[in-house]
Amino acid sequence: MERIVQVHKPAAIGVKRWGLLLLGIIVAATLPLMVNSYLTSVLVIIGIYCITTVGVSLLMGFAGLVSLAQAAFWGVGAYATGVMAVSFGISPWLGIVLGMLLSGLLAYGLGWITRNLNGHYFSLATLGFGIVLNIVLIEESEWTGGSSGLSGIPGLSFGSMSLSGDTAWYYFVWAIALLGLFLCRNLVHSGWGRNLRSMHASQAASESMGIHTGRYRLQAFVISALFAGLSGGLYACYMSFISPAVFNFDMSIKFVIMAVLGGLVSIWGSLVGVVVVTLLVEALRQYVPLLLQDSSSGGAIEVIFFGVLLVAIMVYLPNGIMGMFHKRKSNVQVNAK
Amino acid sequence: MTEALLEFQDVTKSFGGVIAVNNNTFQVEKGKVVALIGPNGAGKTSTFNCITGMYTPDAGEVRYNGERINHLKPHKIAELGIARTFQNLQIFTNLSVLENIMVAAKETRKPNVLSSMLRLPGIKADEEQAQKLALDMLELVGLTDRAEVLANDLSFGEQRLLEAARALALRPKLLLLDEPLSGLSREEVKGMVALIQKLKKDGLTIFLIEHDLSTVMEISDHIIVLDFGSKIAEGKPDEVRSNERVIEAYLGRDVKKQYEAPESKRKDREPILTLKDIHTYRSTIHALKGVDLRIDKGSLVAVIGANGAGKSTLLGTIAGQYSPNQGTIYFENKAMEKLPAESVSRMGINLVPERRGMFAELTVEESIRLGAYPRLDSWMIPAKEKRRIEEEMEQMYQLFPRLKERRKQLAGTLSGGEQQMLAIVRGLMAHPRVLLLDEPSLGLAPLIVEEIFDRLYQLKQSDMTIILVEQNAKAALQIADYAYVLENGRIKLEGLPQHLLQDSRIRDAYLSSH
Repeated sequence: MERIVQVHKPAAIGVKRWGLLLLGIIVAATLPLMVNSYLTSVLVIIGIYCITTVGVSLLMGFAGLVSLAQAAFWGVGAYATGVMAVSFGISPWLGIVLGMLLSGLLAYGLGWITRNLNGHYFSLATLGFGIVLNIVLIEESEWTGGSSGLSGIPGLSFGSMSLSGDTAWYYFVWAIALLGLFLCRNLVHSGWGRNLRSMHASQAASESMGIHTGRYRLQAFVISALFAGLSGGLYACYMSFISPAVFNFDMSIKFVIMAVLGGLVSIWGSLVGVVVVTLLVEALRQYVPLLLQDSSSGGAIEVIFFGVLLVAIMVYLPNGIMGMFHKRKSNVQVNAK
Repeated sequence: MTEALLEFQDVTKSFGGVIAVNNNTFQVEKGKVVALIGPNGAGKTSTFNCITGMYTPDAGEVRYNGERINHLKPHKIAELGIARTFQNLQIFTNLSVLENIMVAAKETRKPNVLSSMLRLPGIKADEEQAQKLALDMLELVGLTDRAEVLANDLSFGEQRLLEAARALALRPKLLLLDEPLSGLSREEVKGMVALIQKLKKDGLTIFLIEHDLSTVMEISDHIIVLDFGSKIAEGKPDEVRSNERVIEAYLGRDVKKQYEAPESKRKDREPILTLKDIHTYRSTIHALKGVDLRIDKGSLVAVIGANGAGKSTLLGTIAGQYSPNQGTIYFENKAMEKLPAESVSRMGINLVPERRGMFAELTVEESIRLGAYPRLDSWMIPAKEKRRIEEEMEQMYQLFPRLKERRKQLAGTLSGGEQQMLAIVRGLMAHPRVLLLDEPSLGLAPLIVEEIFDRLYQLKQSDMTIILVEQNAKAALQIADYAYVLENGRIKLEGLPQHLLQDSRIRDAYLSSH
């Protein structure tokens, strides 16, 4: 007897989705031709952030873990690449790979130590790690340049052809970001992702079904750190200058906000979240100085803005922007439990 | 002599002074159906947890196939071939029915991360294998047509079947069923019993906890009886049935309370709550199809019916959790069907939900006090009000003395029956004008059910209005003033309970002794 059972999504939506994806690719491919170079550079940064946020989304949406150390892992990737290139002359390609692995290794250690922590306790532990790492970046000034930052990080080149100009970087970074999204999407739709989600619903039941929940947690955490490390390495090479102030707690929060705003119901939410948040911040940078004569208050305004944004998302869009497109599967109210 | 698949030797497990499992020794033989029975809080689920590795015994040995498994983690024990279901269902509500079962498939238990990312052919093949296995299991329990539904949207009975199917997908050698029949309708019980018998015929060893004694006697080869953590008897069903200690511990003194039958004074009373032609949809399911209900002030109205008849939806609709698509609900002549749950609760209609909704990490005392907060408008509680709350708590403790003994204990560590008492008390603290109770007898031993229903009768005598939704029709009809029978979202019958008790249609459908 032939039985076809669609897991996850009915076929009708699938067709629409592929159409949407195609449209997205066409828009993305032609985008740098339509906007000025400033906006192109913003788009490069969005792509770089996106690589980190994919990992955050995997961790939060599917494993149910909130990590506040993602900016630290991002920083590990960036500084590993930068320090190796500046102090030892190691190729930034190799630096990026080593930075990624170092991030993953640190996550493995941190994840193993915190294997029994759940909920807020896990978040607090990762917060502590993030703060300590930021202090290390500032204090180890011999290598990292301390709080004045590390400059002179070389860019990337393919053989004799160097990757120069925002447009080239745009295509390069987005190719990687989309690849990352694609890999993560495969992962969450596989048995691996199903096991991870099962543990999110009932750890007792998944363990009773033979699922080693600790292993999945750790794997998800390491994957998210690998993505963050990769993103950091690319960031260092693109900017050629990095400073500890970028890799702080605020940035970790920003990554979380991006993932939540985009919507944790789908891995694509991370992409949506990064685009929306970054464009909003850029708009803020443009217009706040016009409203307020005192230009030094821009940073404070940004913090206030994020605070308000987070509250607003939680109240009005608990499932994020992607949540609006996902049909509610049950009309049982959340508070009915 | 048959071989023992599972052996307990002098196993003890205690929690801060409370001994849950007390120095127990017993065996489960290969290919047999063995039942573990005993009153609520006897340590049955704790025994299961010692087998599956959720608890590590303080002393003694648990052996499976002759191998010591005391200190293994739950997932290792599952891999050895011991599968379980849960008393308070632990389905993966965020997954589809099919996916729920696929989680248990061996093929996809440890997928390689890299190959999953790249969708290598091996992964796809494993996934197909798991899906095939899951479909087979669904067919076995008769849920094939629900495969794509989100598990959360299944009815209670279907969720029990899903748990069984999921456990079977582990391809276990030993299957532990924790109250597989509790909360099931008569038809569903039949189905589950047939399934257990089929599995036994296929050679599976089954160890089960169950309150439904007549079914236990019918299907078990061997019965072990626990009371207060200790084994008090074991043997063949007939031996256990005639054992004095068992009868005393399990059934209590055989003095059935006689309740005064209500007179037909319904006309003199004033309705406090009236439902007119209520239609409610849950996702796409038309759960209530035009329900009319009249609840008089100071009366206890029972709504009985099988699983999936729409009983919980009915209470949820009254409580404002689901908004009806059609019809009106009058509360003292004011239409209220459009109001959100919190407004309804503030008007004095309080729901004690099925499965109780405990805050596991609050103590009994804190939980009760929490129940009083919704009725206080300000967050600052005046001293006078505080004193009143303390006095009321004392009254509640008189109603349920067991709770007083345990008032410093965490709610999560209470037995099922005590949690139900706490849930009722919490509802009462809000000073309800109408108290809605959803299946208070669910999963409780007869003795406890009797105690709780006795208290409900007492509350009714003190002029509380109560709507009692129950599957245990016999018990509910004994204390009710008026009753409705719900079937497929419609009121099928209504009347005085003593008349309904005589009605053969009711007897056939709901009053079977299971």
